[in-house]
Amino acid sequence: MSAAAAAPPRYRGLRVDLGASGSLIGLILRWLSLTLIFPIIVALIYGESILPFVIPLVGGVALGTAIERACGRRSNDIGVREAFVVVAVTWLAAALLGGIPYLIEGGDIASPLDAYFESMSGFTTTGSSVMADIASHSQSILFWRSLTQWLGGMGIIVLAIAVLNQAGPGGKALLQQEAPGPDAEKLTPRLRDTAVRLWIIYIGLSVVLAVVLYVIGLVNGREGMDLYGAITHAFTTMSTGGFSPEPRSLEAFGWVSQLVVAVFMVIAGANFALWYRTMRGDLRAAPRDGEFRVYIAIMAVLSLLIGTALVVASDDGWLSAFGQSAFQVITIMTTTGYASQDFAPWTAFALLALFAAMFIGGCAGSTSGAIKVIRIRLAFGSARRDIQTAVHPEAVLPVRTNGKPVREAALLGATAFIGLYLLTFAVGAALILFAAMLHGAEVDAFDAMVAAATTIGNVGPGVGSAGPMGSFADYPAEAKATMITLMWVGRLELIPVFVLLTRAYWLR
Amino acid sequence: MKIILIGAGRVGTSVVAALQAQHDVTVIDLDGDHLGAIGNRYDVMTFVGNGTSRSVMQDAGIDRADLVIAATDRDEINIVAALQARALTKARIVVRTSSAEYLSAWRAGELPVDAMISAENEIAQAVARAIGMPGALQTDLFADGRAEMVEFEVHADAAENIVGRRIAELRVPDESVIASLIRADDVIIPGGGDIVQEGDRIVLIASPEASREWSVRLARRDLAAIREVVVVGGGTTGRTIARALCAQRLRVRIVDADQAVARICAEEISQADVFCADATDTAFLQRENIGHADAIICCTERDERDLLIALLAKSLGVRIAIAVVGDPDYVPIFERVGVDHALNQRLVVAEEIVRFTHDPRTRGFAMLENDRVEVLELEIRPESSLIGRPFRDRPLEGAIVGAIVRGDRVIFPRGDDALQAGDSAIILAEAQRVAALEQAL
Repeated sequence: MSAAAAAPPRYRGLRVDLGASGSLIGLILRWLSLTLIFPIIVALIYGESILPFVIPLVGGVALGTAIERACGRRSNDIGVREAFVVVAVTWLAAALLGGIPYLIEGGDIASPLDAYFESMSGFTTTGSSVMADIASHSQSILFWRSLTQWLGGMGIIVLAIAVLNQAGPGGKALLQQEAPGPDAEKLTPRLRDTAVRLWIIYIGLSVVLAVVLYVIGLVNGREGMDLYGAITHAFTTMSTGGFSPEPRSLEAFGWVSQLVVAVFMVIAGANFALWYRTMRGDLRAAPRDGEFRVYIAIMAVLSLLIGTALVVASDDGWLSAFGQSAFQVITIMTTTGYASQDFAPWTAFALLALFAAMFIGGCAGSTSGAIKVIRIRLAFGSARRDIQTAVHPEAVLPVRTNGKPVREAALLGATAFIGLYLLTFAVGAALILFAAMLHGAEVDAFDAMVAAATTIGNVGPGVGSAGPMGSFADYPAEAKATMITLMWVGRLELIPVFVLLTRAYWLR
Repeated sequence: MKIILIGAGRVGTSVVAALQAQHDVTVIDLDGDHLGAIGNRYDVMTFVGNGTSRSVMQDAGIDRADLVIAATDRDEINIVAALQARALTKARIVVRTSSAEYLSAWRAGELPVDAMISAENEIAQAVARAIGMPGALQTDLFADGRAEMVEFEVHADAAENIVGRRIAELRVPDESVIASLIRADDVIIPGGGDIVQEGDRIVLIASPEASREWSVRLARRDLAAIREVVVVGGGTTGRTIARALCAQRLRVRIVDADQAVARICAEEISQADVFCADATDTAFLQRENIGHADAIICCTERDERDLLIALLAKSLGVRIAIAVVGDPDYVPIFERVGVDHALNQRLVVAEEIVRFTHDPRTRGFAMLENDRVEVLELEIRPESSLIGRPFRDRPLEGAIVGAIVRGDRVIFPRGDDALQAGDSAIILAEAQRVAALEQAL
């Protein structure tokens, strides 16, 4: 018998191996802390204080090691059950660690809660901010803010599997809980190779984007980005995060940069397995994929609708109206959340359409958030079938994607997910509105709904005072706490978090 | 010819029944009871053992065999047995399969066997031909589909006064030959003086166009083109049939009572509408307007259900009912009580397998009237005594040449025509004369 099986459970009846789980969490935390070296380098270049990063770096390594020691066991007996708690807690802990630099730097981040909000918004690639004045922060802090999005985009756990090779047999379960979409797709027989390849594609696309943006900056002069801007925007574009060190976000740059960023947002919002196949020479992998086609089609339709609304409602030219609407649809639907123009004064129809886009999200296996196109397709297929079987009760109609029949369990899973997602959104919106009411904050019902949708979908910008150029700084603390929870729950796609709330998970 | 047959299941038994009279057959099967039954009924040698086993094959005398037939109901066993046999013998190897995948692998030359025969595929082709030519009792293709053998029943209301005429008076379409008249149990190789009677069955060898023309002249007038088909039973056979019909761009509905089977049908055949229902449920049949279909094909696992469903569908207005029956003895009974065609998988497969006991020059082969009459496509040897003798002189006794394949042309011969060296001939003959015929040609 292995040592793991022989070891007695610490609490009677507890069925989750907390020792193994804690040990792995400690290990990941220890290595994640080392990423703070990058903002330290930036701080040294710009001659800024390195203290905000050195303290969490040392603290994180120490704490991670301490947890690992305390739990005392090798981390490779992670099972399906442990995967839930590891993923959920790792993300909470990572955001805690990542919030320390904001807290030490201070400025307009007033409280630990604000720091935690900003950090959680980073790692979950949401991009909502409580920074009232972005320009007041140091370059190194804003660099860290972009880097957290980039790390969270492809996933902390995926990174851990790729770098540490510590996942063991439970690795697939870990990946499953973190990966966006209903099923984590293996690209190679070995999980670690898959994780490495995903990160290589991710890094490769990010480098290409940064170089292109930098070259545009060299050619365009003031309308383009410098090296710092090119790197940070590459980070937050490929992760569909949406943080920008520019107070005016992408509005500060010319249309060429905006176009390039838009294209890469579309790429980042699609399944990375498609880009893996494309790079292996199957150039038609993406155009052939059903989910990708629907993804593009939804974007096109929404852009046309909103563009028409803008042409009718404002005196903008056609090109500008459709350009703006396409950029906004892409940035919202891929759950990036950059601003190219403040959409707050747009017509009610345009706002409502963007609000709807917040729920859709990109494709499974991308860095985007929200419900995902595949689940919406499955739900529609399921609904269409129900309508047909009302007339032909005996008809057997499998729902297909890419010509392949979908398992019934997957259909149920998709519709249940959408139901749970909308329920969570509704509860979140109600809590935000309730908190605002208690504190007399100026948040109306639509503002609260957008705040809930934008955080659970990891999108970013809200409306009203929290619009694309604004921040959530004025929201009351309870509302911010709700939004932090929504970001966390939304990034992990509900199930890993809700599972932890059941008695059956812990005891049976 | 020495034949080793692996698998004594239903198909195996049919093959034994067709072959045991003329050939030395050795049967290998794991099931001693099956073998005992066969051994008692037919004059064959039996071996109890694993048909994929090298030592069992050697004990059965595979090194002296001329033909090895792997006909168990498991595709994989048949293929493994064939591969093992290939290593032990130079004999021709015929493999039964029910998988379209293996069939296409064989066609692509990836399986080293001489022939692969799929019962489901053969049945599906037979059904598709029957659907394509309503009114025909049996059809078989020859010369890569450039010539067909078709059997029609002559109805009283057939066009152009065919009934009561001499064959010489009939205006026969150019590309066709009347090969035989079947009256009650008599098979007549016709001369010009024979008179066509009501209820006769005419066997034709004709080009596809000419057989359409015959079908119009001979068939009942209510048989218009078929557009809508219901397949009852979604097993391997039902699915293969449904696929073949979908390929003809017909509207196909599949009905199966088993949830899991229906699901497989719906997943595999996206062009067909699939229903999970009991096809004997009249409420269901009415709700889905099954009576509006042009044809129904019954291939459930139980023959009596097939019969009931076929008759039920006909009473609702379906014009043609086809049943795929498991027991060959039921074929004539089904057809007598109102099923338009009853097809039997085992007969169809046995027909294909028996082909391989013929001279290797034999290309196409079909059986009529429970193997009393055979139609074969045969290459003519240059030294054959029949070359150059016009057909007017009736050079072949008990046989008739229906078509000659000469180069890329197909000739439907008249009295003045004669065979040439290098021709292939499509010949109808009484079964007992076939061996002699192969010698003579």
